[in-house]
Amino acid sequence: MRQAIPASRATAHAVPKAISDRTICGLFMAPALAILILMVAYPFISLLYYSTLNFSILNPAKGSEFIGLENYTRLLSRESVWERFVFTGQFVLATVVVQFCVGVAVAYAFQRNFRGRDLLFTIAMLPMMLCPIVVGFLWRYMFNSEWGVVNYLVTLLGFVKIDWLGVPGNALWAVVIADAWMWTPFVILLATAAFRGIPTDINEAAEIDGASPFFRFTRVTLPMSMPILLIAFLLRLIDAFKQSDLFFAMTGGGPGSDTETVAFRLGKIAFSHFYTGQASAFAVIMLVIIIGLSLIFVRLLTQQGRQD
Amino acid sequence: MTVLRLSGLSKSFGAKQALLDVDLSMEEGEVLALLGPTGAGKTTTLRCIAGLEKPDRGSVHLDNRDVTATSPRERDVAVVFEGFNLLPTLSVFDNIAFPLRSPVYRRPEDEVRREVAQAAATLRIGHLLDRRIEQLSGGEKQRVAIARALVRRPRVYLLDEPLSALDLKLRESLQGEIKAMYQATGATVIYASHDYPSAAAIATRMALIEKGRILQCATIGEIIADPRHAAVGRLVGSPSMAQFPAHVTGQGIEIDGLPMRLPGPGEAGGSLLVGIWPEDIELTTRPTDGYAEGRVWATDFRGRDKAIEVRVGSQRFRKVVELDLQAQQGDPIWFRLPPGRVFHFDAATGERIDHGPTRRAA
Repeated sequence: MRQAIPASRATAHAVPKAISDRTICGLFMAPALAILILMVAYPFISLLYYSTLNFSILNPAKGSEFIGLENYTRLLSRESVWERFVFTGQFVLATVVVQFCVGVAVAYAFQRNFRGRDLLFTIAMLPMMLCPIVVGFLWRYMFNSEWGVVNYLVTLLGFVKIDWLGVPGNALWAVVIADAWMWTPFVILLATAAFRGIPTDINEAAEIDGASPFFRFTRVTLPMSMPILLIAFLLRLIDAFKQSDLFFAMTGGGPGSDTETVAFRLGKIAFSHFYTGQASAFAVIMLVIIIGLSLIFVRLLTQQGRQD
Repeated sequence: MTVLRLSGLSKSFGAKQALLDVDLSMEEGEVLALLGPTGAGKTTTLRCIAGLEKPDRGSVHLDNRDVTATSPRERDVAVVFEGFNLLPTLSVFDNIAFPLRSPVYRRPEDEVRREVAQAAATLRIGHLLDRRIEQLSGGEKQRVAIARALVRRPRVYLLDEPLSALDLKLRESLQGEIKAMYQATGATVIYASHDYPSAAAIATRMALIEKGRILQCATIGEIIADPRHAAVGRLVGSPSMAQFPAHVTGQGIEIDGLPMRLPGPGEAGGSLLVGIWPEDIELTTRPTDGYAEGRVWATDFRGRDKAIEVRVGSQRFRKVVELDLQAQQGDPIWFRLPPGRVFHFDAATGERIDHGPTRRAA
């Protein structure tokens, strides 16, 4: 080896400086960049392009007509579209709040040592691993107004049966419950990771300094796990905003189109009506909203990072 | 007034006996150093006092109140941990104020501001109050941690190796600040450390702990005059006690491998450990009658003096000598153990025993 080193140095010197460092850098990055452009930029740009066309994939032969922003103006001037955004907003708010309240509380309870904790934790993680359509049908049966188990329990408690999926207000909550059932485990998982990352020293010091369990939770546990909880919140928010499978399985968007979420409506425009151009415009609007939400949270996260 | 009393405190973690029948009591305003090697049970003792660990047996009394089963937040003790227990999410001010805003020790906000300012002034961190924790150096963090303990004026302060993570210079200046802090407030302090010089600098009394047992608890003077255990000798002093394996023969005590005989009992008996404080060992650089020859194995210059390590066969000791003593590395050197200055310890248990003349307690 000792002789090999000067030899390799000699060859390094022998390479003519024909290619600049920048070019070499570029060459090394080119394959990755090409893949990135192909995988990310192309679909996005084509989406933007389609959103300006009057075009349907059912009838490509008819060709496409450039109509500028007309797809956007037509969508945004329709009251039923705004109603979908309001409905989706209600759903997102309700399900994310429920998931976080239950998820953080359960994760906190899992911090204690008790018999069978690990087994229970594993079982608690299961709903997250199921397919959304399966979860949807599962809950659809459970919420069945005639023979569903939920209404059976309701009658046991002495109330009259509730039409869970046939009334828009009830259906919203039925799907919120199903969605929260499926995704609270995710919050539990991340909150548990966040809580376990807090050094025990800090909690013990707080306890010696007179902090009650509640005081420690609000002054130590929550602030210390905020970065991870914020990420979990962002992920759940985006996912809830895109929810359509559960509505598809549980209500089919009905009654009428009262329980269609934005993503559900998008699917309908794209694959029932086959207004490809308009669907593309709708997708762009959704994307802008999601990017906007994400930016808010990225800002929050970096602020948090600067504080820590 | 007795502030703290531990009686028969025992604790084991699985097969490891962390504490065994620890008895300890402290008067108000006393500063006790808990000195022992790593893993001796110092931290476990402090955690039992703070209530973070429940002892298997024994009791903890604070102000003559049995608190063995009381939760940490109702004990009114403060702990400064080895690692820093500060909250990175809060500013320095809010960290120091934390105890005074907790449900148990809550005070009005203007009082909190006053107390925090005063604690910060004591530890000279007044200029750091607006900083975030991660902007502080190790020494500053440690001061904040001490200020956070100080601000509440607890009955007992438990300092768990608060200075061991710091460099020597910082350690010395913080030692002074801790000392000033308890002298100003009359606080009762337990200072756990494995470092004899810092413990000696801070404490009025020392409890020496090894393998979960308190070997001796006395003032430094008393320990020097009358060490109760060979391990005490190894923990105390800088350098610590020189100890030589030896045998009792019919003619006295013979130190293994040395032509050196000390007065001992008339009849032959087993082996023992002869201990002597390095300061009591007599050295000379010329062959002298009654002195054993050794070799200077190593020398450490310490500025105004130097520490030498002398070896003869498997025997060795360290001693601080004058800088101009002609003892370079590799030089021969002659030494003698004055019979009235040695201590005898049981070779197996390390307990003090008496085999003829030893140094008398002052």
